[in-house]
This record gives sequence, C-alpha cells and structure tokens, in this order.
Amino acid sequence: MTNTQKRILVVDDDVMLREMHTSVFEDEDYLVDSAADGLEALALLSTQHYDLLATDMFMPELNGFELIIKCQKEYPELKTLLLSGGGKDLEAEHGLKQVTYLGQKIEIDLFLKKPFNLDEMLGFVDKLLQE
Amino acid sequence: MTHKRPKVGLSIAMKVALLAGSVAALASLIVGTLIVSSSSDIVYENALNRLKYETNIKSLKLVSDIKNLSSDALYLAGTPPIKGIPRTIYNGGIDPLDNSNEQKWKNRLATIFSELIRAKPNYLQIRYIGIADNGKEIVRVNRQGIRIRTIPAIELQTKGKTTYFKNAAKLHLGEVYLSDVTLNREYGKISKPHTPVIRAATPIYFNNKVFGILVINMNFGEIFDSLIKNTPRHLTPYVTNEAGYFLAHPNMSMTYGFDFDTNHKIQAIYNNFDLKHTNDIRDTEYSLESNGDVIHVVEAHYDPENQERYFAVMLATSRKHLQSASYQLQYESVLVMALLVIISLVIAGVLASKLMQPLKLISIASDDLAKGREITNLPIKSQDEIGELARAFDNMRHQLDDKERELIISQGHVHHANKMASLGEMASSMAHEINTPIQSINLIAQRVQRQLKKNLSHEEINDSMKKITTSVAKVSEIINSLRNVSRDSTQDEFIETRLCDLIGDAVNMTEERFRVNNVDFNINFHNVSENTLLQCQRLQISQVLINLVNNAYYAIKELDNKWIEISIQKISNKIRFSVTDSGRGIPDENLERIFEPMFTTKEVGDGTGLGLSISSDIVAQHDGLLYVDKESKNTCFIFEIPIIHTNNKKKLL
Repeated sequence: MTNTQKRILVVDDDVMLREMHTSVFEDEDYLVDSAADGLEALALLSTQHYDLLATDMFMPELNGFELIIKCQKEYPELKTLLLSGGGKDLEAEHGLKQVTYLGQKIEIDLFLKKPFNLDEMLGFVDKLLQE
Repeated sequence: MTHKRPKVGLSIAMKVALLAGSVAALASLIVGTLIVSSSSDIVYENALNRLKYETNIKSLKLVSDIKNLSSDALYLAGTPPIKGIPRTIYNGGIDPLDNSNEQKWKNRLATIFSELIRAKPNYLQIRYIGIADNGKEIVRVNRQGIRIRTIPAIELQTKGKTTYFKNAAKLHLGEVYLSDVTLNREYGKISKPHTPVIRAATPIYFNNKVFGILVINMNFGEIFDSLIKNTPRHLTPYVTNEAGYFLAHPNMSMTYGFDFDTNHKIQAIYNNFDLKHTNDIRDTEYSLESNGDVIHVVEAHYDPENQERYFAVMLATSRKHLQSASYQLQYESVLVMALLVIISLVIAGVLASKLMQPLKLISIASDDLAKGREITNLPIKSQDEIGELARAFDNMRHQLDDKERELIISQGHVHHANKMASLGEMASSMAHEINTPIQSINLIAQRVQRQLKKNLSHEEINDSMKKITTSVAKVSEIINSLRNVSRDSTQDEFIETRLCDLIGDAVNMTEERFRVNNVDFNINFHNVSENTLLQCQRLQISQVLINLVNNAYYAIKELDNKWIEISIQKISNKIRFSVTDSGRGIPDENLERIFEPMFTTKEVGDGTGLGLSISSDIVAQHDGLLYVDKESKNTCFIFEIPIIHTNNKKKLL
C-alpha cells in the first residue's frame, strides 16, 4: 500500500465536510489529519510532515488562501489543494492552478470548485502524490 | 356622526345670507329713500291741498248761505202781497184786483214771513219797510225765542236813517243789498246774547218808483258756529272781515273786535298777515306761512254787487302737522324696509343653507376622505355646478385612491428592491453557505458509490444517509429563509410570530458570513422568552433586523474587535430590539441624516442608501420608532414595537 506513506491534512471549518473529506481520503488508505481552521492547521503542520494540504477557502481566523501562502513559504514541498464553492472576492476556475483573491494571485497545485466529482479529485490526488 | 370643525368665522351660508341681506337692505334703503324724498313733497302737497280744499268748502258754504238769503229776499219781493199793498194804498184802501183791503194784504204778508222764518232757523226777522213816513216799517215778523211774532202796528219803527235802508233804496229792481256782519242792536245797543247778524235788503218798485224795501235779518252766529265745529281738530278755523277782525274764531271772545273796540284781529296772531296782498281781485285764495303755521285763506266774495267785499275764510295748521303725514310715510317706509331686510335675510339664509347643503356634503366627504372613512352622500346627481364639483371631487377621490394604490405598490417595490440589494450583498456568503451542505451530500453520495465496489457495512451506509438528510435539511432551511426574505412582504397581515422566528431569519441569512469573517454574533433574550408572540409582519421585521445587522457588519468588518449583538427586551407592552456592534457610534454630522432615503456611507455599489429609511418606515408601520441610542458607547440601533398591534390602517389592497 503505497498510499500509507502519504499523509494528508484536511482543513475545513464545517464539521461534516471535514469528516467526509477525512473519510474519503482514509478510504484510499492515506494517512489523514484534520483541522477546523488555518491556525489549527499551521499548528499540526509544525509537528508533522504532510504531503498534501486540502483546505477549504473561507474559514474563520485564517482562511485557506492565507494558509496556503504561509505553507508555501514554510513548506515548499507541500502540495496544495484549495476547495471552495466560490466567493465574492475569489477568482478561480475549477481544475486550474491559478487563484486570485482580493487581487492577489498565487499558484497552487489545484483548485476544486465545490461540489466536485470525487473520482476526479481522488484521481488527481493520487497522481499528484505519485510524483 | 358629527363633524366638528374649528370655528373660523362665519359659514359661507351665513356670509351669502348676510351679503344678500345687505344688498336687499341697501336696495330697499335707496329705493325707500328715493320714494320717501320724492313722495314727502307729494304728501306735504297733498296735506296742503286738503287744507285748501277744506277752506274752500267752508268758503263756498258761507257764500251759498248768503246767496240763499239773497234769493229768499228776491223771492219774497215777488210774492203778491208786496205789490198788493201799494196797489191797495194807491187805490184808496181797496185793491182793485180782488177788493182786499190793506190790512188783509199785510196779514197775508205776515203769514208768508212767518212761514219762511219757521222754515229757516237762522232767520231772525223779516220786514217790509216803506219809503213813506221816513222809512216806516209796514210789516215786521220777529223770531222771539221759539216763538214767531208778527209785530203789531204800534210797535213798528222808522228805519229811514239806517244804512241798509239808504243803500237798498238806491238799488235797481232785482238787486240785493247785503250788510256787513255785525252784532245785532236793538235801539242802538248791542243786544244780548250777542247775535251776529247780516241783513239782505232788496228794493220794491211800484209804478217804476221805489215804494219800499224788503229786509231779512239772518243770524250768522249759527253758521259760524257750525263752521267752527265742523273743522277737524288739528285745523284752526278763522273767518275775518276785510279788515282782519274776527267774525268766527274758536274762542268766541276774540270776535267782533270792531263792535267792542278791541284789537282782536288776525294780524295780532300772524304779524306779517296782509289781507290786501294783491291788487288783482281774481286772486281769491292764497297760502302763507307765519309763526310756524301754514294758513290758507279763501276770500268768500259773498256780494255779487260789490266784489271788494268778502269774508276771509282761513284754516290754519302747524307746518309740523302738514309734514306729519310725510313723517308718517317715512316711519312706515323704514318699517317696511326693515321688514324687507329681515325677510330677505331669512330667505337668503334659507336659500344659502339649501345651496350650501351639497357643499357641506362635499366638505364632509373630503373630511371622511382625509380620515379614511367611507364616503357617502356625495351629491353627484345634482345637475348644477355643485353637482359638477361633486363629480369632480368623486373623480379626484378615485384618482387619489388609484394614486395611493400605485404609491403603496411602488413603495413596496422600493422596499423590495432594497431587500434585493441587501440580499445581493449577502449573495457570496449565501452561496458558500449553501455550497457547504451540498458538498457534503455530494461527497457522501460519491463515496458510497465508490465503497459499494468494496465492502461497505450497513452501519456505514446508514451513517452516510443520516448525514445526507441532515445536509438536505440545512439546505432547505437556508433556502426557506432566502425565499422568505426575498419575497415582497410589504402587504402581509400582522400575525402573531415567535420572537425566535424573527431572529432566526436574520441569523440564518447572516451567521455563516459572520462565522467566516470572525464576527462574534450573539442573541440575548433579556427578560423575555424566545417563544413570546409578537403581532407583526414577520418578514418586514426580519428585514429590519437583517438591515441593521448588515449595516453593523459593514461598519465593523475592518475593525480588529468584531462583534454584533441583538438583544430583545420586554418593556411594558412593547418589545425592544436593539442591534449593537463593536463600532464607536455614528458621527454627529451623519446622525441627523442616516434615516434619509439615499443617504449612505458605503462605497458606490455596496448599498442603496435605502436600508435605514425603509427600516424606519417599517417600524413606523408597526407603530414604533427606530432610533440611535446616543447614550451607548458603541453603535446601537433600537426599535420598539407594541406586542399587540392595533390594526387601524386602511386596507387598500
């Protein structure tokens, strides 16, 4: 089981979504941790190596965009996945790597617009973590 | 239903009545004055003419009495004994025609004289006087009291020296001498009682020579007495001779001044009285004024032989009396005018109030319209101008209704548009909010599909399905709130609503946004249960709360310390809602303007500027007031609305 070596951090302020994301990754035999917001995520990242960050966009305290920026600085190897239903100041297209928020542009590994196809997402994650 | 209006002077009906009354009064005053002024002369003239007429009648009566006296004298002169006596004398004592002797003729003549005296109560004495023997009386019959006496021969007198004898003897046949009216004298002395006497004497010719005269003495006292008695009270009658001495006067003692050597003359009463005012003898009557009296004088020329002889018959009266008739006229005219004014006032009043009745109905109708009552009794069927007015009013009322309806609709549109604008502001967080449970459902469904290929326990499937149901419920709740809030609710009924439902709408629409933006959002029920019922338009009040909460969010979103609190408190029979945020209050310069429509401090595109204005309207609709708590150190909006809504608003839709 190659996936057992890969560790994913799920960040979402919605309990149910957090649990679901965790479950679907665990179903694929990844090691999964979860955090309810950006600050909690940063705390976990500092204690544990993660291969992939799958974060929601809009969260209290520290949102997904800001979290990614911090992670890209601290953990350049960390793959980043941003999940969002879209929002007022967020310019992002499903399946693209470029995300603009409040005029600030960043490159991530993938932007997924909720609701997305599970198979597609898992396929992409699998591919991403195989690299 | 009584309609009390403030007293603002006279009613129109009263004014019209007064106007018509005054016009009528003025008209009757003018006409009356004209009539009175033109007729008072006529009336005076009329009174004067009556005076003249009365005077003339009296004068004619005197002349006619004297004329009768002359006729009687001539009649007697033609009776047979008058000629029989000289015929008998000249024939030596026996009448050649019928053998009568002188005494027989004298007896016959005395009988005729007696009968005439009996027939004429004013006749005192009739005599046949001969030229012979220095005017010796031949036959003489006297009235002595109630008796009539033929004077015996031995008592007969000689009258040759008397004025009447001398004058009458000079006359031609058929002429009559009339004496002055003087008091009767017997043997040269005035006899008592004083008897004014006039004598009529006519000559008797025999064989073309004067044989004698016939004399009738008439008592003029009775004639003057009746003249004075038959005079109306306010007129004073006088009769004077040509010199002005009174022959007749209401006071008997004033008469016959010439006989008593007194100076009781008309000139003593009226200084400027001039009996010989003119030389033209045709002027037989005239009026003059003296001492405030008007005197009409008619010269009664009683002597056809001498036109210079006359009685001055006069009636005097005060000028005031003559004018009194015209005063009477004026008085009556004033009465009639006053009556006319009163009648015209009454008629004008009745007509005006009748005229005003439909106007009053219109006025009542406009009052009803203003107070939102039902309008009845509008006189639209009347065919006159008031009917037109009423129809115009009715038309206007319907247009007003239409406009009001349009206004309410467009006001509703504005409210709704504003709500949509604030909804737009929330759209992004809404999307996020809905997306979250949908994402859950999505993931669950796909995961179940994936896991079905492997072994998935019933427990796990059951758990997943529960999660789907929960998520769907969440989506429904959000969508319901959205649908509720976005619906046009301006015309909703006032229904009893739980406080928690009111708050719930606001919370559902905003809480996700606050959560992701780290806004601390709290609801506090102070002294009231969240199940307390409030009579309101649920969505309107929700809208106010959402507006206030949105405003609060805009005010604090850039602050470090972000919190919003809704607190609900019961104060007597009202519920107080206050929305407080962590902001530092509203700047004084904006405080007065924040409830104005279109006032906004938000950036262009962020707000319509209608939120507070509309919220204020909605609260007012609930008989409440929306205001800023200036005492609070944070920004605090407060509104209170009664728990029981007294629904007296007019239902237009």
